[in-house]
Amino acid sequence: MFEKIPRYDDPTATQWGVVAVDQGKCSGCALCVKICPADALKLDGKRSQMINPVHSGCIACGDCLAICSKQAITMVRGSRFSGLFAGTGEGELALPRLFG
Amino acid sequence: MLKRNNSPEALDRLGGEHTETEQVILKRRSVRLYRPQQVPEFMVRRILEAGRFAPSAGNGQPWKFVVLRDPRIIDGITATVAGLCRLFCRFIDYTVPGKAWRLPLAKLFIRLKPGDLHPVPFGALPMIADGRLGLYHGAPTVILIFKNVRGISNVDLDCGIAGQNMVLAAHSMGLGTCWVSFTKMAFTYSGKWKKALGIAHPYKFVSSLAIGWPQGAPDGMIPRPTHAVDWYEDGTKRQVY
Repeated sequence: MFEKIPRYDDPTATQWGVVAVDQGKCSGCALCVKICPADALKLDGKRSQMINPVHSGCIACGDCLAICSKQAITMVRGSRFSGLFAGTGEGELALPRLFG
Repeated sequence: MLKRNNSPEALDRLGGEHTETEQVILKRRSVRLYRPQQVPEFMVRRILEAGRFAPSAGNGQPWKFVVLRDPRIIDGITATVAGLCRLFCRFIDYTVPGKAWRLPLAKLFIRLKPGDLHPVPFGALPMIADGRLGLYHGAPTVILIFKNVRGISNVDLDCGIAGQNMVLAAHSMGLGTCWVSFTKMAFTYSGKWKKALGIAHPYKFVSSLAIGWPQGAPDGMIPRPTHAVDWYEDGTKRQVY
């Protein structure tokens, strides 16, 4: 099937991940800024935040959450692509589960 | 350990906590910020052992590992890839203001190589081009993984399995790693590094691993999307996530 190539800069066709940084918990260490593979975070007023939550390039890898020593970052949503790059069968976000 | 223990007590304990191996798997994050200290040689040898003992079709072990701990080579490959990214961006990065004319050519290349030009690697190209995204992120050790094209069945798969064995071994030792597939550009669009490292038929590049001592504490559990899994049992099918 000849699927459409989405516009990469159209937020309805190419949706990037979103994380939220609790400004009260953030210490401004900027480790999250440094390790983000998408360069999606910046230090602003000594606190970390997403540079552009609409077009972030964020792939929801969670590296920022994991490295934050203050547990200040939460994952709001993952990335979602359309047309030729549409994923399928995706469910909710979940931490590792024990099922025991 | 590998001894079968399905006693109620053992299963009960297992239900309440992850095994050490599971913890390494679940806490592993790709590390992109390293300390400058080199990884001790014996640790790299141990990591290679983990790769050596990976399963492979017909036990063919169709991999060749190349260890790079020479900054000139690591930086050299990085420069080659960054240069190629700069070249490609000039033709296809249509998201730059004023460069919408690149869209038709971008679409042509996306059609030809959809995986390589998916929105994610597409977005990484200009970042590698201008140095905002390092190739090996300052890691002092890099392992290149080559496949023996004469090997049994799916040699790419076997190299991936070996690579992930190495990743998990490294993380279990407190090291950080990151899969780096952009290295492939240096071996696909240039002959320089094949020649410099003596890579010839039957070996072709598959992927590479950056390895080093991480800055901060990057490993930890994070939420991740679940996916539909079809489950067949007792004559029924259900879907779990």
